[in-house]
Amino acid sequence: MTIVLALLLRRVRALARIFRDREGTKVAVIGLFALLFVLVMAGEYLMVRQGLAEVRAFGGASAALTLYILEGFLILVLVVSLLSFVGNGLWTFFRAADTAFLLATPLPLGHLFWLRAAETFFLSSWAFVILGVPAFMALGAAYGQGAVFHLRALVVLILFMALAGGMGAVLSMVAGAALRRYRAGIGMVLATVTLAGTFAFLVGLQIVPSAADFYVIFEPAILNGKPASLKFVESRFELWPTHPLAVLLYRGVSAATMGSPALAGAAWFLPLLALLAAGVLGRALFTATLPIIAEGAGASMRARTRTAGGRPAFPRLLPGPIGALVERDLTLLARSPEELGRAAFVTFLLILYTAVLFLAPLRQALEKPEVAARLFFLDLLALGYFLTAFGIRFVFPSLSLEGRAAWIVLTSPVPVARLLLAKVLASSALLLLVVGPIAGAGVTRFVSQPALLGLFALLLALMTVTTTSVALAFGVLWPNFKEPNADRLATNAGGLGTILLCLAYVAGVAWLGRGAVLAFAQGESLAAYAASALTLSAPIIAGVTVAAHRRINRLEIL
Amino acid sequence: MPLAEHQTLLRLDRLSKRFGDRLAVEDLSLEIAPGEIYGLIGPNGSGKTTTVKMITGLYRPTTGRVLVDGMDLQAEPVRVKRLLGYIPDEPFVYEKMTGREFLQLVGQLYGVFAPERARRIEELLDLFSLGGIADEYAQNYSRGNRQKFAILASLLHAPRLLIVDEPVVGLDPESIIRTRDLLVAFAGRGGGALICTHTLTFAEQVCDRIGLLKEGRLIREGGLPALRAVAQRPDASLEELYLYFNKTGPP
Repeated sequence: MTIVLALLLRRVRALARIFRDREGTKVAVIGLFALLFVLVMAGEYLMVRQGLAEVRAFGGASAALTLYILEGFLILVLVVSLLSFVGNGLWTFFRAADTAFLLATPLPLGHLFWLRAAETFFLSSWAFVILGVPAFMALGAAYGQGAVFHLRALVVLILFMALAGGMGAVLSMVAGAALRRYRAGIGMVLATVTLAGTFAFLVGLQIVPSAADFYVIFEPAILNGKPASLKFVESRFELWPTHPLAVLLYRGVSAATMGSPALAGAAWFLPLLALLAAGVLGRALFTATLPIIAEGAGASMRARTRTAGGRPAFPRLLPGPIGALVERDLTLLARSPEELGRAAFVTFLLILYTAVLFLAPLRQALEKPEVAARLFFLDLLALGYFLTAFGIRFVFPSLSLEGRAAWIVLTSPVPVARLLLAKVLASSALLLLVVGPIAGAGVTRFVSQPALLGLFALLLALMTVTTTSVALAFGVLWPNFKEPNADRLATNAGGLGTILLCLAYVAGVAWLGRGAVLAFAQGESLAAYAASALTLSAPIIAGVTVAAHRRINRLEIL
Repeated sequence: MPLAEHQTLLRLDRLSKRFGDRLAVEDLSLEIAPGEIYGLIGPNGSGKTTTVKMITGLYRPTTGRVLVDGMDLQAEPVRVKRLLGYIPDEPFVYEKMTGREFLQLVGQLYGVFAPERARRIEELLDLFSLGGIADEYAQNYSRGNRQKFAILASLLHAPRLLIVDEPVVGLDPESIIRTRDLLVAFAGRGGGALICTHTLTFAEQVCDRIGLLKEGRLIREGGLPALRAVAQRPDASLEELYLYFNKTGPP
């Protein structure tokens, strides 16, 4: 285990070296990203605190509602972290770049399992920090709790992380073992889709409240002035492993006596069981599976490069040199399990978000135009966030990922500026194809008038093209042909600039959308809002395109 | 003596490249005629790869010009690049593409029509007997096989000028002989080639003229007999001449 600790320390030292060597740009970028995360967490804290304070004011229904929210929230964080764990884990445990090297060292496989588990946990624990910490603090603040509650919340958070980490490791190993004979891409997609589908089904079935649930929660207070029964909430969530933790946390803010000693014990027992299962079952599966997958990685991988008619199967879809390059990008994406997994994860979050829109009882709230306008604003903001997430992860690194094979394109007689234009169009079209139908389905929950739907389609298309243009242009302005990892590429100064500019722009478009809904309710035309959105988008697209064009003509592959 | 304009396939005109304070290539001028194979040799860091990257458009010269068939690379990059075939020192290709797909892509980038492309690919694959692995992903290829695909890709569009950085590193002896024959045949058809290499026996076998770079400057240039005459070593091999000129420096 000393070697495992030494390897982990090396990774920490690599990060510390950035600060020790005072690498100005990197330190600034890390600092700004940290600031961005802190701002997101602060925003979430304020929103959750306000929301919970308003829930508290519901009188008899507040206890049941608060517990319901806590239960649902913990499940959501568990689902997100498990998906993240499995998505990262299938790659990190079995296909990380240094796997072959470490297999050639005397490091025992069991120790390698713990190293990979720690690495995967580190990569997947963002949900606890960004979602969990602010929410727990907000809960304490909304109920006026002091240090004792926060200590309790910290214990719950640690138990929760242990539970999710253990479950994630076991799930990853089961998926890895079950799919060991499949090609990496197929295995990753199968595992992610299966898990995402199962979770979406369970969340839709059990977590999202129906109108009937609200009657159960609110009726006792309205009819009899009595508080709603917590039993209803407890029985709804009793089979989820997060239930004992939700109850443990809830007891920190409520005087209500609930939960048996067995349940309190389960809050400690389940995380320990999950870790034990990871250490015994997970490790056994890992040591049995890794050699098979490692051997398979060295075996020949063939592709169908000819059609039945004997014609070449590549390039087949798109004409001309630029078409061939766009088709190459699509082919490489389709054959990269890691990239597909990331895309599937973001798409899953988008579907989950849309499912919540569908299942939330919004009908009565929408009778007020202000509420519809606010929801329209928030929806555009959320969709803009998803588009930015896709842009930063898949479009921003696209030039840098040409990497050491960049010579193929840059020494060819293809004008690179035209290639960039094609990338913007292809990425925008692909994104609209993925995001458009899902977003279109979701928005019908708050608007149904054709004029507003048309405006929504225009705003979505503008946001797609603009965020894609910004991401690609910033990727050209800050290229790094030596870094093959898209995640790391996205964390340089250009990545940060992309995020900040895209989010500011998206907020502007969303605000226009809000104004349009309010104006439409008063019988005004939407033309001015459509024109404003075009006026906002066009200079950004033109500005970043010109900057990227100038840069690409001076680009050198160092 | 400089070649007449119509006799020149490649002309480097006082080419320099500076990286910060370091001058990687200094005032380099050379010419290659059709049918000529020119070998650029020199120690590590002498500026060979930098020169190649300037000719292929991967680097922009700090000063000077690259002229291919009379056209300036900076002014007409697309037209110039159509005439070039490039074999890099590190044959990085797309890991998740097959060799055949890679060749199809390169052919498409250079505007080779589909039927011609398919015919050429089959011909070229036969040259190195690569048909058996052409449908496997490049991630499974050895360095030598990647190099072979890079060589084939450079020839696919029938270029007029080949720019080759370390042509035979990682190749098996049989493939080295094939490559040598390919280059000689290419020059025989009127093509020109610039070859940067540390494999001096290979350069000695295929190059009509040799240029010796040291610290970014061309310190000697000429055919093997001329270099032997300058060194006053009539029986010297290129290896001996390289060591001699490297020690004595510029005239």
